[in-house]
Amino acid sequence: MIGKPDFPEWKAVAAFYTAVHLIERLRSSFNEHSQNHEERFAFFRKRPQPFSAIYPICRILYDASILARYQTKNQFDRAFPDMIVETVLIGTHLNRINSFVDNHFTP
Amino acid sequence: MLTNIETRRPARIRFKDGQVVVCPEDQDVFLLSAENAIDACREAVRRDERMHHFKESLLRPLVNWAEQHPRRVESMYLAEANTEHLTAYVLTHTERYDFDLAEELAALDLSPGRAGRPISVHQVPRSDDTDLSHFFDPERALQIYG
Repeated sequence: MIGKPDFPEWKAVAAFYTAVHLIERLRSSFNEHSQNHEERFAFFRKRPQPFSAIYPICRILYDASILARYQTKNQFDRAFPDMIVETVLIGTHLNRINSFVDNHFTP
Repeated sequence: MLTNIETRRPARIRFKDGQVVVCPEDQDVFLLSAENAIDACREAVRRDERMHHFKESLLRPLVNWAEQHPRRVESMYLAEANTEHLTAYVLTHTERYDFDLAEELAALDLSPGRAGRPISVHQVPRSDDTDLSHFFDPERALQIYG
């Protein structure tokens, strides 16, 4: 679904929950798991660089997923126009989290 | 239009001369929300000290930040949340999501003294038909800016 051209709002939701699974994979290497999103984000917030650099990205993906679910489609499209979901949320932010986790396991 | 908000607006509080002013008719709502915030803080201190901590450590930095961004931030709300953490919503002036503002909000979370604070801030781009009741219960929320 994430590769198809339509439904950017659901791509944003899928992107966020993909990030959730990536973060949980990362936390598992510290023998840690999250009970909720705030615990998940605190993992990055309470750590120094390079971990804390991921925190703003998590928040942006979380914001987008909330707006996708609680705003109308038209409102979401105005908030994230011009393929921003594909290029920025997925192409930049989600990929950065993916690379960060990959590098953690295979530096 | 903020139809649901106009029906029953969140309680308003104002910072003035270092004090938090609560609109008298909404004080019950404020105290209720404050209690949840106190629980979220999980501080083993007396009630007055916890209230002071809530106002100065949690609310003040958020309000100060909003006051520094009047051209981008229209209003800010503190929603009632569970006992683990609080949730705030920043309503912006534009319909487009402001990535720079999101980075600044995250930086605020990462600033010294804020790390670990149990509060989550979300950005809501404004549009003519924004309905904040989709995000939180206006009757149990505090409008802390705007």
